Amino acid sequence: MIPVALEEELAFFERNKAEWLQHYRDKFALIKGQRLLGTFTTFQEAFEAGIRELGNQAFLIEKVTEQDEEVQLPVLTLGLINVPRS
Amino acid sequence: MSPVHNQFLQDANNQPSPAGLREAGPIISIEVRIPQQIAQVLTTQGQPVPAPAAGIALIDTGASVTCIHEPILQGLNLNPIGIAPTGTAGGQVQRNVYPATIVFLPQGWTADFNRVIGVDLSGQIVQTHPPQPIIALIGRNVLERFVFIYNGPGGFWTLAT
Repeated sequence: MIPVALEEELAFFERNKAEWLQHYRDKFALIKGQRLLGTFTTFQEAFEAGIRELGNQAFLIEKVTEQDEEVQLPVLTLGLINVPRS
Repeated sequence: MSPVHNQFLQDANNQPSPAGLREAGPIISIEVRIPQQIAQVLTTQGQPVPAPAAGIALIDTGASVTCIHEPILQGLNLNPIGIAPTGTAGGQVQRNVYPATIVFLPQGWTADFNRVIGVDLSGQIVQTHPPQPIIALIGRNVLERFVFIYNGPGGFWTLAT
């Protein structure tokens, strides 16, 4: 399995989340390393800003909310793509 | 470009095949490409733009977000732009999020996504003849742009813009 990238950026986000919730709630934070490069109204705006400033590099875009929305992939979670019929 | 794509599954006698649809599922040929914004950056830097990766996607209404076999995304020199917590039988797992453009080949529909999940689809195959590997699961963040109809008795499905 390919390791998860952006651990430094995610840790930086978590450390600052409580404060950012007061100032940037529901905005999308653009983070590289341990720098907040900006906050944006939409994910797309943050993405385009990240590409303009950093080019084709890894960077983190994270919505400033209380709780992350969990992605649901039940067919993978439960191994249901190729279940034998018998 | 037609706004409607109907995919009929047929048996050896060219008759509608509900069994074929049940075996294969609603699959569609796609290409995964790097987003135009990234292609422009690469071109400006004098770097080659990776060729698209083609393969089979399974339309998955149970998936909240579209996911793509992660080695394909990395083969396109795409970099993560997020992390998504995904539910598993063993609890939550963090997965990389990538930008990507998906082209639905039968109709040429292009969809730009700034959020697809990199997952491991190794060994996941669709029961066509011959069997083919699945490279993507098309989830509801794509499907929200379409009307999707699954006709089991008729052995066909429809995707419409």
